[in-house]
Amino acid sequence: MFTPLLQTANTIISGKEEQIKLAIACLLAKGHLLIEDLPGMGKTTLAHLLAKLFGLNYSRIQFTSDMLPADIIGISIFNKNTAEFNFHPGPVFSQLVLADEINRATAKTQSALLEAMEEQQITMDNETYPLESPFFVIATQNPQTQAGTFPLPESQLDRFLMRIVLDYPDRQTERSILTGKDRRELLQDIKPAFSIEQLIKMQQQIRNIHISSALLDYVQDILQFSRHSQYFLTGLSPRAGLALLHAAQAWAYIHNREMVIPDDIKAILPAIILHRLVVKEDQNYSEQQIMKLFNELAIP
Amino acid sequence: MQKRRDDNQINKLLSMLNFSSNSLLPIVLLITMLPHLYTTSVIIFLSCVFFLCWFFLHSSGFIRLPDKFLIFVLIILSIIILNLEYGFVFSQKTALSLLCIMVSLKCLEIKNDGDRRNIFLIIFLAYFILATHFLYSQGISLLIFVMIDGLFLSLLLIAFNRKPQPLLSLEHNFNLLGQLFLKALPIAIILFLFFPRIPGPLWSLPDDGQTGTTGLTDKMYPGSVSKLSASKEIAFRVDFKKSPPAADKLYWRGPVLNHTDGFLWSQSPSKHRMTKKIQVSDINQFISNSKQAVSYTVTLEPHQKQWLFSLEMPVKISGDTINNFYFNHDLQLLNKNKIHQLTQYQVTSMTDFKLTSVSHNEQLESLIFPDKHNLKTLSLGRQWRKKINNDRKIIATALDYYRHNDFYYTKNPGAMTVEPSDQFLFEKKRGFCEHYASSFVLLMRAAGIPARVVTGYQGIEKNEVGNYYIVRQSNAHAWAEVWLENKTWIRIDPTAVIPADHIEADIFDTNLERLSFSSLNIPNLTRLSSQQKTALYNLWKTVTQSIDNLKHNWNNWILGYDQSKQNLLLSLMGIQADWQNLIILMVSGMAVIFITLKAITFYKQYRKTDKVYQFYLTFIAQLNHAGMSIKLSDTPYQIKDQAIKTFPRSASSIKLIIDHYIMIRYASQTDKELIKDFISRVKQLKLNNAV
Repeated sequence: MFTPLLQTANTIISGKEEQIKLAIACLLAKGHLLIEDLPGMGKTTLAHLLAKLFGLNYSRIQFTSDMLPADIIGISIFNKNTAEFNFHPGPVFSQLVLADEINRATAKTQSALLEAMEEQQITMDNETYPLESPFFVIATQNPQTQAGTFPLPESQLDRFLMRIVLDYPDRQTERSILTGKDRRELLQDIKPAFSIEQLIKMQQQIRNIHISSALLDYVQDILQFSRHSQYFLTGLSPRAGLALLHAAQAWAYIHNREMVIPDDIKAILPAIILHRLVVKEDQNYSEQQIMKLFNELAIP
Repeated sequence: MQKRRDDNQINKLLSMLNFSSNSLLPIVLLITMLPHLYTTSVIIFLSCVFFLCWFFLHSSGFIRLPDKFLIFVLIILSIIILNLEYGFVFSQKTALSLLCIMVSLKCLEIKNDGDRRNIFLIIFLAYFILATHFLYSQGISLLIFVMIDGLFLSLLLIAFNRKPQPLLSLEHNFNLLGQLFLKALPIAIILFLFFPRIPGPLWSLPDDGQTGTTGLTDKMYPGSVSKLSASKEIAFRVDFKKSPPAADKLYWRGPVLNHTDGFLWSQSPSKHRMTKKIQVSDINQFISNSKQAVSYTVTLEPHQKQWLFSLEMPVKISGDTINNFYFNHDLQLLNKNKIHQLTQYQVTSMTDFKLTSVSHNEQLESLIFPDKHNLKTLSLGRQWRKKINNDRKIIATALDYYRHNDFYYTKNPGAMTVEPSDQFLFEKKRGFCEHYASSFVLLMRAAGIPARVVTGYQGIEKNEVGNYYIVRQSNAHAWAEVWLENKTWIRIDPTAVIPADHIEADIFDTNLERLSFSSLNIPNLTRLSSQQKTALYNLWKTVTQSIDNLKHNWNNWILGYDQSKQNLLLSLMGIQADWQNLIILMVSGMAVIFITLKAITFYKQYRKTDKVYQFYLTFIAQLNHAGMSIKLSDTPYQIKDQAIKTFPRSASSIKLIIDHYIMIRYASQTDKELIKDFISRVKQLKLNNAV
């Protein structure tokens, strides 16, 4: 079912099949996505691509340090004619929101978006405005070593179902990027593979993918390991456990399976847990080393 | 709102505690080492304290830890200090001092409070140091100290183990420790009861020259015994099989002093004594007319000498912890090794006996006296010899001399440093037993009667609570033995002839006790009526006796649990085994228990995992047996891909097995046929390596 869609995606962003699949799984699992990478790696293109593939209306917010919450959620303006305040919705009222370089903005502005993500509604002047459905936020973030950034706190990172890293393309892919057509032009030609109704239906179907008790054991083993291991400051929360299951369901759905198997968990594990774990300072473990620890857990 | 603030405060307090568990470590370490450091020299104590203080100040955030080079220098310095202190003798004490210093130094290597490796190592070494204290003492008080300090160490261990999570509540901590304790207790009891008690020490450590214990010595001079009389320290405890003998028979024989220079009395030169060892079985040659046998058990406190005290004269002796005991030629009972530990032995003594001489030499030795000192005493003795020609009458005259010449028996006779016998007999006339015994023996020797001084203990003190008897250092005594024509040594105690009104109050033990009781400094003691005082005194006596009874039982049943008691227990259980067999029994018993426990857990595990998973494991084992290296952490699909690559010929069955397994284990519904098929396929699987 997803093969043609993935092929289309591959023409735009080649060599990143894994990341694209993860992004789609994240969308299908009704989660939000955080892409962490250096500028110019194709983060925006990926967001654009997803919006096009699922036919979602799309808005982009470029975060800057002088941004205010109103710039995201909208503003009430007094209408002289009606003598009333009229709400002018901000860019967050969109099905797919690309929050570009979210760590450039101050904490107040960041949290405005994160709250909207959590509640899927905006409250202003005692009025509640529901956000569109499906609602999917892709935030991009520069690695925090860069100057002039406000890193997201751990508690807010938890709001993102997945975090992926795009990384540099390999040599062959890079050649095709350098010689090929402009990606933006290619994007214009893409037609949606699914309608919005189909997407919502798929999102519902995914929740019914079977999870066996053996697999729940495996997930709980992972959670337990993170809590008892000496490498981490804090273990994974139950919310992280739920995230693992939902993402694994979506992953199984993409691969046309009716049940979740340990392979699914292993595939989505890094995207789910790496931004949630805080490694102890003295342990100085790289992400690869952490994943090695988790991959060595026995599968029950 | 109020509640939240309380929570905040509690959290703050907890975080402070969390921080301080790091600075608590050096304090607990110091307490752990204290009993050892207390007995070593000041410089070793100070260097340990110095290192611990450094770490304490570091953990409180005041100073930095030394770098590697400085630590190296400190190690060299510590070794130099140890060498200066102990030289190249590597004894128990040296080893412990080394351990203490190195553990203190090790603290300086702790990088932060997450440095589990070093912290755990230090805490485990601290447990070890705690156990080594039992090498020196096995008393109840030490046990209590070790328990309390062990509790602190364990609390620290839990705190560090939980880092960076917050501390557990005290209740939770104690719950945890209690569980651990209860788990360890049966093992400890079984090991205590059944661990083989090997008779005698198998090896001996270099002598540390332990001193500092007060007690009887093999030298006597005026004031040496009366000095002891102030000591309430216990020399030994006695359990009589029946009732104790009469008071005039309660002489516990110690070193016999034959040699004198007029002031100091000592044993005859050692080469004489060493030449003759008399085995206990041969003792009957030297004892005749023996009557009135008394059997009893002596629990001797360590006194760092070879002496085994017993009532005069022992004829039978046995005990598990004493070895190669013998009589020297003064007929004093000796152990081959020095008594460094609490020692228990059973003796049968004849309290009525006649002692023959071991050698003629002995009698000659007992006539020698320095004729330049104590001239008045000597002339008195010689005078008696001239007047009276009967030895017995001379002795009676001498005793009458003490009886009728206004002599006093006192603990505080004042110093007699020059010509002590003359001073005592003709000027002061106040003395303790050593004054009487030495002057009496000098008089006898001057009169030509062989005589010698015997030291030891006299008397017993009953413990009403435990119904046993105590001999204290204050029971130390000196008396005389004289050689009579009918070829026996006769015990003469000159102090026994002193009339009751010439015995000063401080001699009696009860008075001593009353004295120390009143020195307890109880407020308003003077205001109490005499009846109340007596009641209070009786209460105090019961309490102290109960405490001593506790110690006695501890000595008897915990420390004195030796081979014979173990054999008794084993024979009650119907086991006949010597210690070699017991070791084999213990080791095999432990092996059986270990294997059974393992088997039980394995079986439980086996029961828990279902059949399908068992066959899946069999399948993986088959693959691994055929040369693959599949881990349990590999997912089914990973295994499938690898296996098909390695065994292309079996590809179809491998694929089916894995697919079936995934369906059975992870799908929502599985039919029984699929499980059957899966099992039969695993059973039939033949891996063919040939491509």
